[in-house]
Amino acid sequence: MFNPSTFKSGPDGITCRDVIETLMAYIDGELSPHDRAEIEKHLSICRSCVNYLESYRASVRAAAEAMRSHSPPTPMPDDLVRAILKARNTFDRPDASSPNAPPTP
Amino acid sequence: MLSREEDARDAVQDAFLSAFKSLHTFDGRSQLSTWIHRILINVCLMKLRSRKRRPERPISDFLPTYVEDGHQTVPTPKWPGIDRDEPTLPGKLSEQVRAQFEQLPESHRVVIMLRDIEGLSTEETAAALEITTDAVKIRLHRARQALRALLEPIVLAERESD
Repeated sequence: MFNPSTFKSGPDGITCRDVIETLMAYIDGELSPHDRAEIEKHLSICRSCVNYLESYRASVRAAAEAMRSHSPPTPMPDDLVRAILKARNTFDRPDASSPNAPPTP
Repeated sequence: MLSREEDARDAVQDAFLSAFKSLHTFDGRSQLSTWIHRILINVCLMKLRSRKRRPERPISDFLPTYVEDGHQTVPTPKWPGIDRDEPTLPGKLSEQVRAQFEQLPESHRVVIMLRDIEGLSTEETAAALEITTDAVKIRLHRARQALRALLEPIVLAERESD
């Protein structure tokens, strides 16, 4: 995704745009040592980009926590139980005339 | 992943049915639960592809903008209660986080679901969505940026209400 040669560094170094657009590669450790150093140099002087980095990571973590915690305790639905039993009958007795036929004693 | 509880229940039912029907193909190289989980993800993706799309805002609406010299148009404020080592939002915001998550375009929301929540690798996500790994990385970064933008007003409002 990220080509280090595309950094548009000006006389003052890389820009907020450079940092923000390569943030995921920076977090994932996919940048070259040189580009990583450039980003950290920018972060050392740009509070806005530090805030962006922190809030980006917080958002990723918040989404994961919010979704994983969203598991309402619902009982196993009756139609799911029936479907599993139907499938099991079909699987165990592929030659049965009806998948719902009662098991042969 | 499917947003609606009843859709999720249908998907679980379909996934279990599919798993039972193809149980003979399970080769035991992964855990049974992992295998069924993968089937469930595929069922969810099929349902997403088949259902009518709701109107949604383009991802570009949520991405940062810059002035000519490359600085942010609006500087990012510090979010309260987080720091670089432990970037965590208050748990009481979970419901609002889920609501904002639903605002993401589906093509991007599903990438966050698979990568950040279901824990699939970039390669697995690319295979499931039938797109390239580069496309997965680009969508994931944009989706995270958009989610950040959607959460910011909530987090800052929370600070003011405290």
